[in-house]
Amino acid sequence: MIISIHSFRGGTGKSNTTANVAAVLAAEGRHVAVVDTDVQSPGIHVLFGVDQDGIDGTLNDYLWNKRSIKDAAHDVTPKGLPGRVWLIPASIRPHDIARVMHEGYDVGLLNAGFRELIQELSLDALILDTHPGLGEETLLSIAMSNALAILLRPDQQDFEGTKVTVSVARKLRVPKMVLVVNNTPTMFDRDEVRGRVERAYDCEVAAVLPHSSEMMELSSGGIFALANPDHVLTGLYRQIARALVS
Amino acid sequence: MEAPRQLRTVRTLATVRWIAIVWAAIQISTYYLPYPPGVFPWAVVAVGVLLVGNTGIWLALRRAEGAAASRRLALASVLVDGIAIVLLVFVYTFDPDTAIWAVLYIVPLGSAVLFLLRGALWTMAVITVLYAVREVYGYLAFDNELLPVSISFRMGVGFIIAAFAGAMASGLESRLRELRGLNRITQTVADERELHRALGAVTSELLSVFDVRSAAIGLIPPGSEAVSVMAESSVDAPDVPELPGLRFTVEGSPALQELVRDAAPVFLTGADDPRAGQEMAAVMRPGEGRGLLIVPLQVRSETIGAILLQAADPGREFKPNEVSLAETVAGQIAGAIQNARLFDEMVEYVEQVSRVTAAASAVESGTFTADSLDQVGRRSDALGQLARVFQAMAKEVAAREQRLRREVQQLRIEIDETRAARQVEEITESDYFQRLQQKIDELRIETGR
Repeated sequence: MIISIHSFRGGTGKSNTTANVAAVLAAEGRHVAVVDTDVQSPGIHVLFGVDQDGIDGTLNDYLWNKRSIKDAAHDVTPKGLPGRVWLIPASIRPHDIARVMHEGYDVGLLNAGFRELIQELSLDALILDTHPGLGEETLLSIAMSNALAILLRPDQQDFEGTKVTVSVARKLRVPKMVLVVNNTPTMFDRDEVRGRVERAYDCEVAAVLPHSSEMMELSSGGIFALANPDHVLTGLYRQIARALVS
Repeated sequence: MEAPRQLRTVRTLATVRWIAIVWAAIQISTYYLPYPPGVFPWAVVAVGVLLVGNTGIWLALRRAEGAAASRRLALASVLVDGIAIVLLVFVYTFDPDTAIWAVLYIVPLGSAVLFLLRGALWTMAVITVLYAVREVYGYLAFDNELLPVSISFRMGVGFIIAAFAGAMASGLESRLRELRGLNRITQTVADERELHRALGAVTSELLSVFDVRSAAIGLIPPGSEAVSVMAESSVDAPDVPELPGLRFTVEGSPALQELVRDAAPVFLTGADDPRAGQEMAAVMRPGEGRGLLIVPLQVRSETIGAILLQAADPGREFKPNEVSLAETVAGQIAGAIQNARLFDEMVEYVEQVSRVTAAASAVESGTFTADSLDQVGRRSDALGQLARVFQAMAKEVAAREQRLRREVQQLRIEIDETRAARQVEEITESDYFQRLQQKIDELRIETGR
């Protein structure tokens, strides 16, 4: 299945959520691939400790018919996990970014690539880390997904855009859609927040993630769920993963 | 103080005397000439005097206690030595003059060691009288020539020896006494952690070290212009006024002004000394003429207080060595006071640091009250600044949290539905979206979804 992790605004914690959901799925023994479809501003590879200088093959190479999709998939399974994690990074070379933005890419090819990847790697889940907003590539990613998680923060800035995103996703008939409220100040009553958000969007809230200073400290230094398996936040990532793959 | 020292000396001399007895016995029994008739028994008597006398002293030493007993034993010691030396030297040399010289050389020395300068001079006075009586008796009974110069010359030599030895012994003794006093003060200051008790103990030591009527220690608290008496000890006399708690303003006493200005000891001849000032004169009892020595307590060239020593006897002045000893003691006390202050400051500092730490965890647990740092915040140092900044930050955080909490209570998700609908429409009616939707539908059909 294909899962998109999305948010209307940037900086809501998409990449972190994507990486952590992938990690908790792999911890349960599943095969997961993460595709950085945020070709305009790639970044998730950092969380998996991947240095792009040291690797060969990106999503861009596949879209330009330079490589097979499988050749762009890098095994980044963290040590000790029973499952597998592959990463298909987007190129961070400015030239590549400019080219992909200018030329666009073949939607059919991307879809075929995902199908191929799912088959070739016997994936349980293919997770797409999308570009924020509702640009064409993002709409495409959402449209191709079986499940969509939309992240928002309990902040007025996020509310309206999220409403638009939810409405558009509904038009695209995404089979499963959940909301994830991220970076919730600790003094908020999380159940209260969940209730209000669910009522406002008429959409299931998979989890209300509290603000965590440990998470802030870790920043992009690694995957939180792996470093803190017993943390409440890790439990909530599992909850999101369950909601998405169910 | 005097008795234990005297007894120690008597014991030392008695030990030496045991050796002397053995030595004398060997001497008289191995004499190289035959003794004239009747002389040997005198020699035996001389050794006997030493033996019996020393045994008596040795036995008496065991239960000797107090000043009177020790004086008696010291006197016995001088007497035994005097008699034995006269007899022994006489029987050995058959020359009364040599015997007399021997006495003049040795007895004043022993006496000086036992009775110090005054005792040595008294001993010489007694010897002089005895010698004069002997001379007069010789003149009257045997028609010997009476030569006053012979008396004055021989006794003069004896007095010189007595004076030198006595002065030496007295000097050493007083130095020793000072050192002992100083040592006790040092120990008191080091042992006693509570400053007030330490000062009290020191004033009581000062009484005996300086042989004064009263000794007091006054401090000038930081920022104050007056000496506050913190501790005082005095000899048991009903007329000695209670000093602790009294304050002498520096401004009101020229002597204290001088003390602070010059950082040097000041001596007042009595209550009538015009430099005393009214407050000080009031407690010094006018008309008595008892001097008062005031020695500054100095810390890093700042006068933080003073030692006040009031003489026991009217007209007594403090000798330079006493003043210098008082200055040494003042240095010790000043150091102890400074240490105590630093210690108190450190304890206070640590306590205030822990208040800031406690405030930090209170902020975390949401129980912080800003006024808990008021006291630390009043400090003028870095810790104070830290506390103030922390307080301001914590207040701001608290205010923000309260604001947020208010907002949470009324977390409203306000969405302009019309605008959102328009935006959705814009997207979904775009050509791209239409194409995408179509494409996706095709793909879904393709993949059988």
